[in-house]
Amino acid sequence: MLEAIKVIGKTLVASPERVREADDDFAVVRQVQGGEVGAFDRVILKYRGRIYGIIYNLTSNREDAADLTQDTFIKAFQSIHRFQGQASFFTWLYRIAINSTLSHIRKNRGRSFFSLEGVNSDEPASREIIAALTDKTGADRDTHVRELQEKLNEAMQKLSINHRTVITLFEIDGLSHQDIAEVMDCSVGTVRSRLHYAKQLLQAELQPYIGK
Amino acid sequence: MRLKRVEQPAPEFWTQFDKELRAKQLTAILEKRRWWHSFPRAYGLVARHPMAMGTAAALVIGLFSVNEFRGNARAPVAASVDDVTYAPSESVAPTHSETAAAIRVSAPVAERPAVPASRMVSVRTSEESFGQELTSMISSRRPSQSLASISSRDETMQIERDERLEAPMGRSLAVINLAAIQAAEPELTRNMLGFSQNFQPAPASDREQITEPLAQMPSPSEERRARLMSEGLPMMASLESAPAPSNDDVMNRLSDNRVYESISRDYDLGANRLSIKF
Repeated sequence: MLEAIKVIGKTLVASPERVREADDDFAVVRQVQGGEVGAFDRVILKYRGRIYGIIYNLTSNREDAADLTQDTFIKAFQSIHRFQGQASFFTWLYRIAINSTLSHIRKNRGRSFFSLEGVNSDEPASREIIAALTDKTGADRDTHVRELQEKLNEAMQKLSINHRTVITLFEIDGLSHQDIAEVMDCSVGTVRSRLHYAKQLLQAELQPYIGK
Repeated sequence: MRLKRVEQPAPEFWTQFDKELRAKQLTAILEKRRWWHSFPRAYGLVARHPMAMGTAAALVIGLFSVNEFRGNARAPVAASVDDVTYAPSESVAPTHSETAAAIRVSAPVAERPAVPASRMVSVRTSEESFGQELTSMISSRRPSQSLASISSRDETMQIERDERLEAPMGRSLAVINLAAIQAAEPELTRNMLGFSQNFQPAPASDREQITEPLAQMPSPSEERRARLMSEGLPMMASLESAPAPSNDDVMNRLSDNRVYESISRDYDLGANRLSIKF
């Protein structure tokens, strides 16, 4: 009963786009549960970039992120018969990804190293951001962007796992507080508190670069 | 944070990613799932319905506890002292036989191991039980049958000698009991004592023919007198014409002490038990 009320409440609160997306996901999941295994490829194509981005921003290592993303989809495929539709599919998939990543980080604590993705300056969005962050041109600009990227990832890695997860899901992936609370299995207030504290820590770490 | 958002892998990365993912999927399909992989599923079931699972667990524990309590309440505290057959332990010293018997008797009857027939001992821990058995034998008025039942039962038993019989109190009680039984049922007592090899009283008809050996032997004075009389008197006294001693005389000459010593040697007769040696 309580679960049903929660689902109805989420449906009423969620945006129409999110509701439509959830319905599409549920239809695909039903197909996979019915034995149409090929339908799971659509799920992979749809979510692989987002899942990879979350894991990459949590680990700051592209190889680990690729492995963990693959493991996430395999686990989801093996456990898809247990998905009952009480939560949205992306929340369920995010939870698998984050739990796998947190387990990996705890296992390899102290043995992490950076393996960062490059910033594609050919894309308009990237070019705009780079232009806003630097006033330099040529090789110096690329070096400056690289240095800034490393400092940002160092600051992220100094955060605790929970704070890193919250700020990744909110600032980079664009999830709402409610969605983050569902993914992390905590209250919305806890999410807000963690988000506020994580931003403060990041600002303190990147203070020399903010004024530039 | 905007910079972090534009950190994206190259398009060729996804080609390699798809290949690796396909290989991992095939490996996962071929790989057998281990038995411990079902643990998270069971945990998930418990976590999904914590109240129901907790209530069920409490009920199971409660029922188990109630059953245990009832089982303990139903168990016998101590078995009846009478008619208990048990095997005395080899390690128990004979001087502590009473203590060992008490310990054995307090144990539940059902838990006792099977007792070999050669080691079985019938214990009558009260004088009344022994008296009741004898009373029932007497009241049945069929001593031969009672004795036959005793003998058949005793054939399957090797009766151990209890040191308690060596106590003066037990011996005196045995003597008193035997005397009382002898007074009440002399025939039965005589039949019971007939099992002894050393003490075999003959039937009354046989006993009448028994004469005193000393009486059959002529004394030297009588021989001398007979010789003198034969010289002087034509009539000669014959010793064979002497009257045979009566049955009462023979019984009187057997002292009570001899009888009881013989009984005590061949029969272990106590205040509460009767042991017969073969």
